[in-house]
Amino acid sequence: MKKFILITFFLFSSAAIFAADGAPCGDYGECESFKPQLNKTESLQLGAVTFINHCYGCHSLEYSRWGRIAKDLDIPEEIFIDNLVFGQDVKLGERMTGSMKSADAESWFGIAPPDLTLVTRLHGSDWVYTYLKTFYEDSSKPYGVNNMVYPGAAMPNVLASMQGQQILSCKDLPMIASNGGIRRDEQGNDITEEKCGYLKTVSGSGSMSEKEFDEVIYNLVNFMTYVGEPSRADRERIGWYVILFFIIFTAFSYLLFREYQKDYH
Amino acid sequence: MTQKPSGIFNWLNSRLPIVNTYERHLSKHPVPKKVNFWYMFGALASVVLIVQIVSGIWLMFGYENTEEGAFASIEYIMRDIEYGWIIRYMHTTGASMFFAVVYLHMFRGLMYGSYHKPRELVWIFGMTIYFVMMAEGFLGYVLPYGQMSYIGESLELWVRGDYYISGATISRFFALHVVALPLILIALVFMHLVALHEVGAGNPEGVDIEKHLDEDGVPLDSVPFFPYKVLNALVAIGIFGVVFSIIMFFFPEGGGYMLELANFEEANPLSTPEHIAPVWYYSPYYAMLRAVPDKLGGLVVMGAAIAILFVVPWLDRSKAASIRYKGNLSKIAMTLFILSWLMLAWLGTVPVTELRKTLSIIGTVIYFAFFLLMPIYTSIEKSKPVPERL
Repeated sequence: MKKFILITFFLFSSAAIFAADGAPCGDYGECESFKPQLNKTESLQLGAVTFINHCYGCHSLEYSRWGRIAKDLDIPEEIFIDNLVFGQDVKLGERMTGSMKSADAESWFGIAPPDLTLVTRLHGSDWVYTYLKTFYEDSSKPYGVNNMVYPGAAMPNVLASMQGQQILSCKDLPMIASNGGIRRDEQGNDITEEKCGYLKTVSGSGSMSEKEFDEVIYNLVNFMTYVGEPSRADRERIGWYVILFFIIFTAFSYLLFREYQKDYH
Repeated sequence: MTQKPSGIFNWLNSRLPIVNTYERHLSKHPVPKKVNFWYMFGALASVVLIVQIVSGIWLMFGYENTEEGAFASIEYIMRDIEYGWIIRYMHTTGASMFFAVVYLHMFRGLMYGSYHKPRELVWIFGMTIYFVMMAEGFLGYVLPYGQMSYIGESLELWVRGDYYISGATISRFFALHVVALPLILIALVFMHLVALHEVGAGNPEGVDIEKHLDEDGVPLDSVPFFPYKVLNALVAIGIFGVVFSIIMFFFPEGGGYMLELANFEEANPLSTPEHIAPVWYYSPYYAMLRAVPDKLGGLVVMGAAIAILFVVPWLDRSKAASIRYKGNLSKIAMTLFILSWLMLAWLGTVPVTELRKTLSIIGTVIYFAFFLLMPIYTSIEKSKPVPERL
C-alpha cells in the first residue's frame, strides 16, 4: 500500500512540471533582491527626503498623512514642516494628496501618474527597486528614456542627474556548449559571442558613483516600503509576543490535559 | 453542578434549562475516549468562526460600503484606526484559516466515514455550512473593491447574467456578507452541533461505542465532554494560535494567495490584472472551471463538484466506516483523490498552458471518479472486521 502511494506521488510530481511563468521584472529578468530595514530611521528619513524632492511633484501618497510620517520617522514637527512640507496651508493631519491635479497631469503626460502609497505592496519592493535602477536612454520614447522592468513606462528618469546616462550595451560572453560547459576552439581558447541588452552607465555623467546611487534608491524604496504598510515594524515586533503567549498557553493546557488524561488511561 | 444552587439560580433554572443543557451537552455528554488530532478541527472551526464574527464587527466600524469610499476605507482601517491593522489581518488570515480547518475537518469526515449511519444529517449540515462559507468568502473578497475584487465581481455578474456594476452592488454584497450569510451560518452551525450531539461523535476506528454501555447507560468507551475533551481542544487551540499568529503577523499576504497583491490597487474597469487567479481556497474548483472549454459547462462541473459531496453518505456502501478497515480499493481511491485535489489546487493558481489544461482535466476526472465509482468499489472490496471496543 505504501509503495503504491509513493509510486502515485512520483507519477504526479513528475507530470506536474513547475514551469516558470514569465520573468517578474520584465526584460530585466529576475528582480534584484531588496531587504527592507524598517527600524533604520535614518534610511527612512533620507528616503522620505528623496521622495518629497523628486517624486512628490507628480505622485501622491494619498492614503498616508504628513503627521504620521513625521512621527514614525522621528522628525521634529518644525523641521518637518520647514524642510519637507512645501505647501503653506498644509496641516500635518492631512493626507498627502500630491501637488498636481490629475486632470492637468492627464493632459500633460497622457496618463495621470499613479498614487504610490501602495506600490510596494502591489508590485513588491524588489520590483520597485529594480524599476528605479533600470531606466536607459531610448530616443524613440517621448522622454528619451525607456525602462527594462516596465517597457514603455510613461515616466521621465527623474534621477538621471544622480545616476548619469545609462545605455543599453552589448558584451562578449563565453558560449555555453550543450553539455553546460564553456565552448572552446581547437587552441583551447574560449569561444565568445556578443550578447546585447545589458545596462551600462556612462562614467562621469552623473553626480554620484554607482554605490552612492544604489544607496539613494535603497533608502527611497525602504521609505516606500514603510509607507505601503506603516504598521509593519510594529506588526513584526508584536507578533513575537503573541506567539510566545500561545506557546506558554499550549504548554500549560498540555500539562492540564495530561493530568486529566490519567483519569481514563 | 454539585454545589447547592442559590435562590436566583434556582429561579432561573426553573425557567431556563440551564442545568439540563449543561449536563446534556457538556458534563454528561459522552464522547469517544480515544480520538486523534483529526478530531480537533471542528472545535478549531468554531474558534475561527468567533474570530471572524468579532473581527468583522470591528472592521464594520471603519468600513465604508460605497464605490468611492470602499478602497480608501480599508486603508483608513490599516493606517488611521489604532491597531486597525490587527483587526483586518485577523479577519483576512481568519478567512484562510477557516477554510484550512474546514477542509481538514471535511477530509477527516471522508477518511473515517463520519457520514456513516446515523450521522448523515450531521454531514449534510456540514456541507451546507461549507457551501455558505464559500459564498460568504466570495462576497467578503469583493468588499475592498480592489482590482481582483472587481474582476471577481464581473465573474459573478456573468454568473448572474447582468451588467450592473456600481456602488449598489457593493452595498448589496455588504448586507449579504455581514448580516444575511452570517445569520444562516450560525443557524447551520447550531443545527450541525445539535444533530451531532443527538447521534454522538465518531472515532478513527469506526467503532460504535453505543453497543457497550455501563449500568447507567453511558458508553464504556466514552468520557464526558467537559472537562476531558475541552482540555483536548484547549491544547489544539494553543497550537493553532501559534500557527495563526505566525501567518498573521509575519506573512499576512500569504505570498499573494491569502491577500491578493492586485487588490492593493483600486478597482479600475479599464485595466485587467495580468493573471487572474482566486485565493487559494477556491483554486481546485477554479481549475475545474478552466478545465472545461465551455464556460457554462465549466460552471456546471464546478457546481457538481460541490453538490456531489452532499450525497456521499449514500454513495459509500462499505460496512466499515473508517479507512483503517476498508479494503485496498478504497485506500487507492482515497490516495488518488487527495493527490488530484492538491494538484487541482495548485493548477488553479497558475496560468494555463496546454499541459496544465490536460492535467486539470485528469484531476477533474479523478475527483468525480472517486465519488461516482464509490458505490462500486466499496461494495466489491472486502473490508476488515471492525473491532467491538475502542
